[in-house]
Amino acid sequence: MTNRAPARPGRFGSAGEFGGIYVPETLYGPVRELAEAYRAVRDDDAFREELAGELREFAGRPTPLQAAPRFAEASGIRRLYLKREDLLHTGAHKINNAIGQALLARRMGKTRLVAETGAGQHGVATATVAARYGLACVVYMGAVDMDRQRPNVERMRLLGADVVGVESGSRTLKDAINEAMRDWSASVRTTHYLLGSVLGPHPYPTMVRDFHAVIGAETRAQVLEREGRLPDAVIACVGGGSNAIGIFHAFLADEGVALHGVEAAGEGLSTGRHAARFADPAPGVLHGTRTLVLQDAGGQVRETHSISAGLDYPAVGPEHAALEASGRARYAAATDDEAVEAFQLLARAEGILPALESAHALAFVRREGARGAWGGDPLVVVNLSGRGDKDLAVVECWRASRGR
Amino acid sequence: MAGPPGPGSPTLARAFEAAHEAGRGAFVPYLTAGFPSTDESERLAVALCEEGADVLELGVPFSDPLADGAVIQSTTRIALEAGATLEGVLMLASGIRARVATPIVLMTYLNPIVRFGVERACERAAAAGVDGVILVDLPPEEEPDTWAAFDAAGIATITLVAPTTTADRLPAIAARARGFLYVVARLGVTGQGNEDTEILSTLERCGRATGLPRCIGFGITPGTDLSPYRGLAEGVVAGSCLLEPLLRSHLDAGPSGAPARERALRDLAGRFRARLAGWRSA
Repeated sequence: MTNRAPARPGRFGSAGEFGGIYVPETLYGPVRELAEAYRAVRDDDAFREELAGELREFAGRPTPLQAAPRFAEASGIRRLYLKREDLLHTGAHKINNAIGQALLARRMGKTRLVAETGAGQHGVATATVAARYGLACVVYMGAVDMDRQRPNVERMRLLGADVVGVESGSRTLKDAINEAMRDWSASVRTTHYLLGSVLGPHPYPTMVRDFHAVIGAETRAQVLEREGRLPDAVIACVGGGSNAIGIFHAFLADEGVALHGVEAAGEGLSTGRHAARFADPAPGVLHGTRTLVLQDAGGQVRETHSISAGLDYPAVGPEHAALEASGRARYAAATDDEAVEAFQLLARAEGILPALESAHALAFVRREGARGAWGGDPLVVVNLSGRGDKDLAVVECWRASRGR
Repeated sequence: MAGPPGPGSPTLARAFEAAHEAGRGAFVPYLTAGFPSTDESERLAVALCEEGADVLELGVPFSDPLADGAVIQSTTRIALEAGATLEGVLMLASGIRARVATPIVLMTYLNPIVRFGVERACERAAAAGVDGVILVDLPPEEEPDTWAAFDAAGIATITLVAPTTTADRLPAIAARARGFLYVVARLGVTGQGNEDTEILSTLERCGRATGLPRCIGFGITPGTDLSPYRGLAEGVVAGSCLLEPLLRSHLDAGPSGAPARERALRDLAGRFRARLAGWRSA
């Protein structure tokens, strides 16, 4: 299991070919200071107790592992469980990491948080913890994403955050990260950059993974208790990949458990309008890390497309790149149409409106279940990473355009 | 700590020596390569060299310039829309080299180099007459093979020191520097931000760590009071303040504004030269 023994801290893959620290000199010192601060609290009992207490009382952990028999039946399988991260406070898994990093920032004496957001879930989580811990908060969000995730913009503003629209580049998540890093370059002495996925320079991919690893730890215990055995497959959507790495991590050593990440095929891989990094893999360096990057022949980062703002990103967390290279996890893609159809099916079959991001993972279950991918009577777990209220306008628009 | 000037630096060393002998601070202007078009970019670069640039910095356009402020983001976008590529920048460098002897330094993010192939990029840059490279997002601690490839090709690797650079890292940064050391005067991105209060002590520490020339950059304009840096820096990098009027003219007048842009750039270069004259003789 090469991916579990990286060549040096912050590196992933058998030769340490993914990860690292690729930042302008101004950010190197702050990133290293953060890595040291994180290493100090990681095994600190007082910090762990404080974090566990906040996750329990404020975020609402543990989340249920819930059977979804009607969705399963419609997908050609019998046993499907949903890890209900959508039931967390603020409606997505993102709060796990936001609480962890905010507590760390407070210990480091920082008084201000900056964050990027795509779908707005990470922005809402950051604005929420900033309010709870008395920190100033600025959230950068692509102008395209502000339009399609309007309710989350309102939420952030009500929570006291300053939401700044980003008009550069593709005006989506990648440009919001550029802008957040620019802000941080000028404000490092007072500000913590609360990065929302398993991306960026070391220590972010490791730290954010650790804060989300609770998802997999709970899931593994819950499924053993319910079924007396491990699942055949664990499935999660992958934008940057934080919810996926969070649920995968507890299962990495369980070789019999298939791990599937599902990225956005957008309007279809052949149209070029997608965010499928694994479908056309090219190693590169973006946002502080070496990983797979959707780019053109000249090394310019390509614009991406997905109906789901949270998956609309041209790179993937370096640990996912390593898991794919080692074969421990496999990655597939679901289209916008497949995701919306899965969204509607979950609503009607189980009474849950999932985030469009999570709906990509559900779409994969439908596709693979229908072709009997996991053998006889598979036990499948999906990380339902977020709730879909934020996506109502997008889904309505999709339905109107399709006449259904 | 003063190390020997590394491989690949004789042309840069000569440029700084010439400025020193003339009692001047070195003038190191930056242009976004391919802005507003390849042809005009070459004319502007040659004009700067004719106006006395001691070293010419050419920025390789990248889609996600996260160390750059608003002006260079815009010039980068326009260059990319006009079809700029690393390949094109190398041809541009070659064209400039055919006309002037001024040392050329490429300032680039790592991804275009990785995609092009590090070794191939080094070979092609050397063949184009490129003297040095600034790898904006590659810290000296990462990728020893990449750094070594530039050494092997005889291309000087200019490293950066920032207000946030801690004392314990300075020796490694200085040891990795060839040609000159680029000292970032401000926290933040290119062209904006407040000057760091510790810049003078940073410059002093750099002087103790290396015998290489120190150039200060990020937010320097022709109006900046450069007197505090006398004796603490050997040159000045100017980018955004040169590009800002060119950008405005390009957006207002398009291609027809080219002659006015060249005049404006020559004028700005002259103002910098006047500020830097006699800088090192007192």
